[in-house]
Amino acid sequence: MFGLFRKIPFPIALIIPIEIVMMFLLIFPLIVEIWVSLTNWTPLLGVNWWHADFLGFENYYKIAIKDHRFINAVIRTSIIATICVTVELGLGLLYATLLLKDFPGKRIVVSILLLPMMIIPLVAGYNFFMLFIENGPINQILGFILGKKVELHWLSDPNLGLVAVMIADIWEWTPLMFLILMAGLASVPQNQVRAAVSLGASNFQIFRYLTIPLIKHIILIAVVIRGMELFKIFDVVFILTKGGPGTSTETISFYLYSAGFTYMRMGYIAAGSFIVLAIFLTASYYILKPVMKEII
Amino acid sequence: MKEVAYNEESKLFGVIRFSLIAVIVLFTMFPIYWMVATSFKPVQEWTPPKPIYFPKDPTLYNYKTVFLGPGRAKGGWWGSDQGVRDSLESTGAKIRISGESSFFIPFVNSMIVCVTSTFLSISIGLLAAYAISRYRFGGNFFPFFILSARMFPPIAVVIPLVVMFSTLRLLDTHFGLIIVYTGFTIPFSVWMIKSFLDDIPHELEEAAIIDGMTKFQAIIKVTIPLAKGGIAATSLFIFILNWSEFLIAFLLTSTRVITLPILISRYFSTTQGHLYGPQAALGTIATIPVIIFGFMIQKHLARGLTFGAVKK
Repeated sequence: MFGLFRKIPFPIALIIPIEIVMMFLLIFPLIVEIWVSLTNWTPLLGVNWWHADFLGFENYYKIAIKDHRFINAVIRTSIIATICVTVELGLGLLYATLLLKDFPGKRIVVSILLLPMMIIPLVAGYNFFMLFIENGPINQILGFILGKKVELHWLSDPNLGLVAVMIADIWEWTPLMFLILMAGLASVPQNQVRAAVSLGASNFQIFRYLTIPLIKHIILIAVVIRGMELFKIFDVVFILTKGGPGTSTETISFYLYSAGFTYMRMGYIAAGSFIVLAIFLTASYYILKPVMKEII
Repeated sequence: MKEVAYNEESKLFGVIRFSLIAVIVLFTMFPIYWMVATSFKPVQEWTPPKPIYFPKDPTLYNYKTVFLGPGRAKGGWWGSDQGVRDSLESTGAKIRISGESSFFIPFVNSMIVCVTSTFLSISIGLLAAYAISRYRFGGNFFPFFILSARMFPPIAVVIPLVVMFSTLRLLDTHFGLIIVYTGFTIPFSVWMIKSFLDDIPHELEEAAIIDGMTKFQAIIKVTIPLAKGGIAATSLFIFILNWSEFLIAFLLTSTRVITLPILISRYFSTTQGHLYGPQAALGTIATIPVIIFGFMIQKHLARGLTFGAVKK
């Protein structure tokens, strides 16, 4: 037994444990998912999933073409992801530029700015629930700025609900952008900046023509990572709006959860999640490869 | 911190800069402050017509409720503070540690699951990271294959896992949650530890092997002590990820193995979010360990969240 173990080349022996875990948690579930997505299985049938009726591609057809809730959720999630990534990138750049120079207490300010991303996402969603209620502080502060009484129903209005979800996400994850971009700005070689200054460049010109091109790949990494995470957004939606009112704030993850686990239509939802998986895999392959190649 | 070489800015610009910094600090701190403040507010101050920014009559009842479980504080939540006090004092003389509503069981569950799965994830990830860093194992494909596991939306992988686990009777067990958490955090541990291992010269291990150690002994006795700081940072980082995880635990557990985020969501959904004070108290308690750990690894956070791409 041990002799056999010795014969395995060392690098392969090192990755056996990870292979086992990945097999159990990735490959095997994928096979199960593909099979279940081709059947009408639900736990309510009372039979095991390998005994369910085979349907072929009916589930796929139904969810990808007929199911407007699913299609809307995909579109909505893309909109949320685009807006949030843009705003977070802009704010992150602003934070990082503001904190570029040293000043007394900078370390404390940086630590404070990083707080939100350490908060449990569910708790962050709950924080914003408290802030967004009708007689909560956000309406009052808005009223104070506008000089009249504001009574916005943030969480029960279809459009405002979406805005509330995005604000909560921006609050929580701008610090990550800031952190990555700050590391990027710190890596800009100072002698190049000095050269630009002595050649008479303004700070804006330095920023536009020197800093941005130098940290372009770091910006790309930050955008890709945030974008990927945003497509999975669930916790905040779950707490803030529960996908409602109606289905107006449902994201991909939330739709799969609510359709899958309230009606227990496992086959149907497996088809949906397999489509999502396929999109994610293709996208991550094409987006991530050039990005990560620069780093390895 | 090194000196920065940009142009001198005008005085006006400096004032604008500092006021903007003040604004973003306020924007960042306000929701956290609101949670902590609410956790000390008595029941009348939770949602008055005009929000109260500083608790006028601070109490510890909310924390007491979280520790006792709201089941022990029957009645009085919607009435006066007196009602809360009475019900707490009449029933809560001794702390009852049982049932889903008390804070202790979920806390212990969270600890068991997070510590074990962090340990497993780090051990397995370290070996794979070593294979990638030192032997370039699998070229570019293998690291990307591992990373792709992180790209899946968890919900899409959890659905077949629910199906599988119901057959294997792993639903609602510590073991089931531990392996899923291990699997989901392995990409982070592999990539982050790899980025730390890359910084360590491999000549040291080679010297140890020439001196008569086996390759495995060289990892244990040379590499791990050298990468100690990095491994510790990775562990804390993965602990934070596990501690905050909600969706997987929500779908894979029901009654026995409740983690802290599940308890928070239960407090929330059973009252449509109206139990403001105790929820804020629970949120504060649950967040404290994460924030402490987060500050301990502050300078490695960027590295962790970008899979080791940003080193600083």
